[in-house]
Amino acid sequence: MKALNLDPGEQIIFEVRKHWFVFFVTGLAVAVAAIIPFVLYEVIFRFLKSAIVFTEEISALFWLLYALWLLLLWIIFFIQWTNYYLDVWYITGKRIIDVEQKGLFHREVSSLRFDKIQDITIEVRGILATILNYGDLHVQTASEDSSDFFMQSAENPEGVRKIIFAHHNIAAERPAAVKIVPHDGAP
Amino acid sequence: MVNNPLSFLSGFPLQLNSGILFGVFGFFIALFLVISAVLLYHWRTYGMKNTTIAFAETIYFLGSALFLFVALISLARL
Repeated sequence: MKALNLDPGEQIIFEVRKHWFVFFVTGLAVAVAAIIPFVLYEVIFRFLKSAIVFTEEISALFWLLYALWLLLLWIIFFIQWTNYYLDVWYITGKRIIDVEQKGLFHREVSSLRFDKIQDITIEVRGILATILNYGDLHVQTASEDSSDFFMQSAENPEGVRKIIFAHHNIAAERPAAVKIVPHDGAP
Repeated sequence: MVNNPLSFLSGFPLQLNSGILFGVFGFFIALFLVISAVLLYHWRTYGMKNTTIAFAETIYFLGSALFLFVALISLARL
């Protein structure tokens, strides 16, 4: 909670992230890269085994280099996953906190109170997005000082829109605090 | 005698020996430690004590341990 600087009593109600399918493509690329050396070794073994003597040393060298290659891919995979997972909107009782993890050492945090929201637009494009239920979320602010919030390929955008609107309506209906200042000489 | 298409490699100045391979292994250990420290920092600071993050930490270190173990065993066989 320290990383978000939540107010006393402020609780996180909901977390909004990009759909898992966005990260699945990255994972697939890593999986393909993991298989390639193994396939190459098998191809070389099959077609060149008459020309190359595959000693135990060559086999051990292959496994050493392959294990180190897999370790490298494993690290890359988790760096990508961290960037994906820490890219999130936290919806609290008072506001939306947009955390953009742009890289391991590049992080942006913005917050938007519900009473400053002007409109929420969602866009679901394509068959895959419709079936898997993901789309773009755009929260427009009423303030000139702050920029709009945007998340691409968010999971369950319609559900998120409903939650945000519900809290926006509560904030809008809440009576505003009025301060009465006594005026000297007034009857 | 069979012609070895890779025989030209023996003419290269760099010969693979266990010292070089240990050096490569050591480099990867150092890389792993540095990046693991960075990832752990992010997960602990920004993870909000999430169970998914805890699960990911476990999987990450288990997988890394497996790959390092295989690499070490292979290095020992050389």
